[in-house]
Amino acid sequence: MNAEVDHTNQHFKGQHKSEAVSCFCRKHWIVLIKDFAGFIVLLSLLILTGIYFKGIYNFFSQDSPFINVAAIVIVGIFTFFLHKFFLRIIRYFLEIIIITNFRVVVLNKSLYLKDSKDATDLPKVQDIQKRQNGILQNFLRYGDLELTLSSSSTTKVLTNIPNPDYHFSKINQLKSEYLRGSLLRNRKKTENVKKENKNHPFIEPTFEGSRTI
Amino acid sequence: MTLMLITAILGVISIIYCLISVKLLYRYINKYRFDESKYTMLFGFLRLRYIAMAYISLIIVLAVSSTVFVYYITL
Repeated sequence: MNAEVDHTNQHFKGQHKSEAVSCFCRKHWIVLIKDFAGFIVLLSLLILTGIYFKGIYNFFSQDSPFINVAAIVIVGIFTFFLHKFFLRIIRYFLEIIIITNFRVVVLNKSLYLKDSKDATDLPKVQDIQKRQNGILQNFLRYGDLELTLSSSSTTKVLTNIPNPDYHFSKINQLKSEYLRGSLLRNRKKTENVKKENKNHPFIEPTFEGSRTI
Repeated sequence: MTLMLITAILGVISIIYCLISVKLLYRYINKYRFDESKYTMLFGFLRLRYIAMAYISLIIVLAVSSTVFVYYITL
């Protein structure tokens, strides 16, 4: 006998009991290029400070309160940008796109300021489009997935998805499986109702003849 | 001396903020775990714990070195 696994809140808050995560991904690393470029500049400045330490030390050692305050301000700026960079990387790891057997969930989370979730039910997805335009997107294998919803004709766009071919086919596959499963469930339900009604004295006479009380 | 104290306080606040951030991060990822073995790592090798270790160590190095630097320039 197979015991049903309880997936409630297993991988994300709001996960249903029978909702299993099929796959998940984070955005392509291209979204971090700007932040890494800034970090490399910061690191280079720190290394240059180390290399030309004597000259920098002589400059800031001058008996001038302005220069001393400037030194603290520069230290403060370095500290701020270092924190900003690492919090951005942490946010990158916390922003996840999850594809389950029921829906597509986009977790948009940061450590302090953001905690949002966007879920799209698979049966509501009418159309999926994969967009991979340009040399960079094709060379680095990332792109956008556009989900058109049947209910309101709105579209949801998942941007900078790595390996979009895989996720495109995955969503299609899971959507078909969900609809097939839903069809089978409805058919079984209808058959069960018909079986029950067949033996009921008050409901629809059969071909063998109506029952009399 | 005052400037060194200000820098030291800034450094301590920076380290405390870093440690709180890492603690919050691990509390969240331990609560909602994913099977990371099925996930392609950032740049092929970067795990979250390397980022956390780099974060803590760089903040500590910056706090200590900046305090020492300001101490010596104000001497």
